[in-house]
Amino acid sequence: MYKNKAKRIVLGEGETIGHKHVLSSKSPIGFDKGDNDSIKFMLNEVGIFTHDEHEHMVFEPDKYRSYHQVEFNPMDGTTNNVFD
Amino acid sequence: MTQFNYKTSKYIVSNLPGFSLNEALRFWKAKFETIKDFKKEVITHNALLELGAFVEEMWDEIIPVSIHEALKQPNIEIRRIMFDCIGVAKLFKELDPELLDKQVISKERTRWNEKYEPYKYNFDDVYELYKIEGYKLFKGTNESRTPDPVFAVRCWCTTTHREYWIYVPHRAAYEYMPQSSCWQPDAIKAIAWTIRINISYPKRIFRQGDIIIVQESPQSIVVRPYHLTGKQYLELMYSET
Repeated sequence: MYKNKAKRIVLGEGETIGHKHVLSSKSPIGFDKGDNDSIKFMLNEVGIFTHDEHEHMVFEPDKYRSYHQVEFNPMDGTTNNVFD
Repeated sequence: MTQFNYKTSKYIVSNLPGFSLNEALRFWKAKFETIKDFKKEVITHNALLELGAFVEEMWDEIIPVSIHEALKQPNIEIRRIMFDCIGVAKLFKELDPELLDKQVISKERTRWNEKYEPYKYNFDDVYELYKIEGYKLFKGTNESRTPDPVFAVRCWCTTTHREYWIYVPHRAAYEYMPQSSCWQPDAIKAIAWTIRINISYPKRIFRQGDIIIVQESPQSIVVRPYHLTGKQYLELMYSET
């Protein structure tokens, strides 16, 4: 169902400092990359989502999708991902 | 094969080509906070290593383009690039924006302790919506119509307390109020617009910095990407750090 499997996946990386948003789980996480850096993934066990500057989160086994927050560019009218 | 000469080459900045090295240096200095950021974004090929070394040596002496210079720039395309490089936070702080709406939201969100046990965390979140009239940014241009205003939402990171300014479009800045039959500025609608997802019936939403995680529900299917409404933003957000 998912093309990729790993026990640790990076869902985002800060452009300025390079800190990563990392999801890890004891059993392999199935995941597929989509448009605009979105990732769909499935946790078979609890997932721990960490980042050096933000508090961790705990995800129960289920299906999820990750996205980047977006912002408008008033100079050219486009919508783009925000990177911290 | 012609060798790349960084001193005489023309450069592309924010997708606009044709800048001399001296012009590009000043744009880059405004755009990138540190030389490390510059090298990461611009020096993406071995052929540019010499340019990277040159810019690194010059970095502290480069004077970034200023808002004052941007406002005086007669070419609207170059002015747009200047504003793009200067950035939303500086632009809104220095151009006397109009505060359209401010909302303080008392939130209760889930967090987890060191043993990964959940607990409830209560805090107040502040959202401010600002507008800069288009004529302040684009006066003196030959455009036949009045330039559009520019909107940004100001918010603070729940964990780091860093301040962020995020541009939003005009349509995300106002909410229709049926009671009064008019459009009113809405800072929550604006911040909700910054979350764009592509599944229906999301169960819960988590936000860690700029990364949004959406938990699917049994009814969820893939749909055309859409921006959250203010109501969805407040009701579906389960945890924010």
